[in-house]
Amino acid sequence: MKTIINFLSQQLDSSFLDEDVQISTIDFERLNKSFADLGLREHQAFKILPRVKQYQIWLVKSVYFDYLGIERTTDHPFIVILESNPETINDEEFVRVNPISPFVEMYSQQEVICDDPEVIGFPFMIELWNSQPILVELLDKYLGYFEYQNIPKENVSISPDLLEFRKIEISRASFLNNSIRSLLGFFESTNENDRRVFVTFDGKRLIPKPENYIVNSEKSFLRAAKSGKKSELIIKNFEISELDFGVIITSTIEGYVVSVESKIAHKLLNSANEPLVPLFHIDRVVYSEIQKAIYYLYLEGINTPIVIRLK
Amino acid sequence: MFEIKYIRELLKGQLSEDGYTHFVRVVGFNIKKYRWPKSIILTEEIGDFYLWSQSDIKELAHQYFEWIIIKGKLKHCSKIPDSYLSYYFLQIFISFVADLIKQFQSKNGLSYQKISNLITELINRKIVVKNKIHSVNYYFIEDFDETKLIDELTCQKRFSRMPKIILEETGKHYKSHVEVAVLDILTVLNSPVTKDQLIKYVFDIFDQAYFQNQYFDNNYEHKEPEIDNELIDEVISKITTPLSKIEAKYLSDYLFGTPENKSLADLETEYGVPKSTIHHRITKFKESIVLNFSPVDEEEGIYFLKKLAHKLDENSN
Repeated sequence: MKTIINFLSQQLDSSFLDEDVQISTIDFERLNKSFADLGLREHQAFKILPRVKQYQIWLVKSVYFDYLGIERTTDHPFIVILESNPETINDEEFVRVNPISPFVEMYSQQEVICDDPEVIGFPFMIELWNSQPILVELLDKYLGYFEYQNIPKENVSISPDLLEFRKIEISRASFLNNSIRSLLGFFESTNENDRRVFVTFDGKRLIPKPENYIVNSEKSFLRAAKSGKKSELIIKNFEISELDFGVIITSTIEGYVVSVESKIAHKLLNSANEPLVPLFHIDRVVYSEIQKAIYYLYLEGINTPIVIRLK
Repeated sequence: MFEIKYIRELLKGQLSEDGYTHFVRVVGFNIKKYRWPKSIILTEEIGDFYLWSQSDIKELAHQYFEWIIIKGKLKHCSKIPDSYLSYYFLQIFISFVADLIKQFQSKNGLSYQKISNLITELINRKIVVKNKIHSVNYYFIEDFDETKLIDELTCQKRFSRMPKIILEETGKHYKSHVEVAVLDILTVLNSPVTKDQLIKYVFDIFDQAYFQNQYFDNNYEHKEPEIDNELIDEVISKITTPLSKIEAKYLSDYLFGTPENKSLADLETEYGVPKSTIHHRITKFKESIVLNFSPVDEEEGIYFLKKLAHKLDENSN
């Protein structure tokens, strides 16, 4: 157990020993033959993602920007099983989950074990004592489905090693519940107007330039009247002078329009890391019909993106 | 971590020389990082416990590959997405080594089999009383009949309250430990048990962590994540310094006052500050807490709040 605990409590390394390795041809060929004989198939991802619901098993994103624009990462990736169906809080979907551990050796009778490796590829243990709320947007890849019966809570003697394992797992799970805590912090620290367009860079909120803040312009009323839909036009202008960068975000009937003014090359990605296709103008790059979601604007040469959250 | 491109090569049985080198190097790195003893692959200790030659590292790597195949660890690997597969390979490697270490430990210390043999000897020496009930042999410290039997769940509950017996020495004194353990267990359970049950209870009562700890660095000490006092002091100073005495007072009252929490109207009356001002100040203060501090666990969170309450009290006097 200590071996596993040591592994979980330390950061993962991409390092390896830097020395030449003598290769024995016979061993090497035998190894390849043994694996070739297994006839293993490659992974096939689900083409259509199901609607999020209870008992589904998902791989969680290992990196995300929370509601306050702070980048959160985890060394040891999380697989979770959904304890409940999604609910909403402050217009955001969230769900309660239990982390799944591949280390079934740490079983203590207070978890559910799935012995069937066909569910997600390997046996696993559901950490029923580690229930966490997370935003649905953190769910990355759908892995499978597993219905289970909850274990009645009984006092079971837990060894010090198992206690230590649980402490580590609960501590790690702050990566998951931070998505909710930052959402609550966001709502406590912003007013309703500010929440619709929220831009952060390097963990700090960008405040829009007040002189360009226009609400309910005449043009917008005309358009709204023509379309028959009620719409409130909001324009926000953000600048980071040290990066020679500016972005204007306009809310329209069709969605948002994001105009980027920068001499530096950039790309705008959605939450699935897919680049958005812009329209080009003379002095700015424009992205139109942008829907409510989170976007990442990467400027060339700068690792940290500008995080744009549109609600 | 094992690189995904080499894992894919291995799964197809087309591991390149670069890939093979990579696997051996990653195994070697983890041996060094976690300081695993060489004895997990060798049946006898030879030389320095922790000095692994390249040949030893390759031996462990090959044992790992064989274990993967024999145990069918990749039979359903098509279910595992690439973004998790690299971690999965590392995780099963850790499980494999944990298994090796456990097997090695069972050769030192008191194994299940040894306990079984010793209990058989005690039974033969009539240290415990045997009686057959419904064709099953039961054992107890004195004469008994069927009425003395208690259900297994109650026995387990009674057993769970017993303190562990710590084993630290190797070799020749286990017999007396086992004899004492048998008599203690039967006294506490106050119920006859079968031989299998007795062996299991005796095995579980012993704390053999000594034999596990032997194989870790003498200087190794797993440290509980410490509370970051410096960071907490810095954050508390940052968020409380701008507060006036009155602000500190009513914030303290509102956030930490007991037994009845004061309402905004109460605070307005007591401090002569408009409710809207107080409300705004409280909101801003909470925001500054959330923006500046995120505890790693509940313990650190509670510690932070206690320090914050104390600081607010201090600043309001």
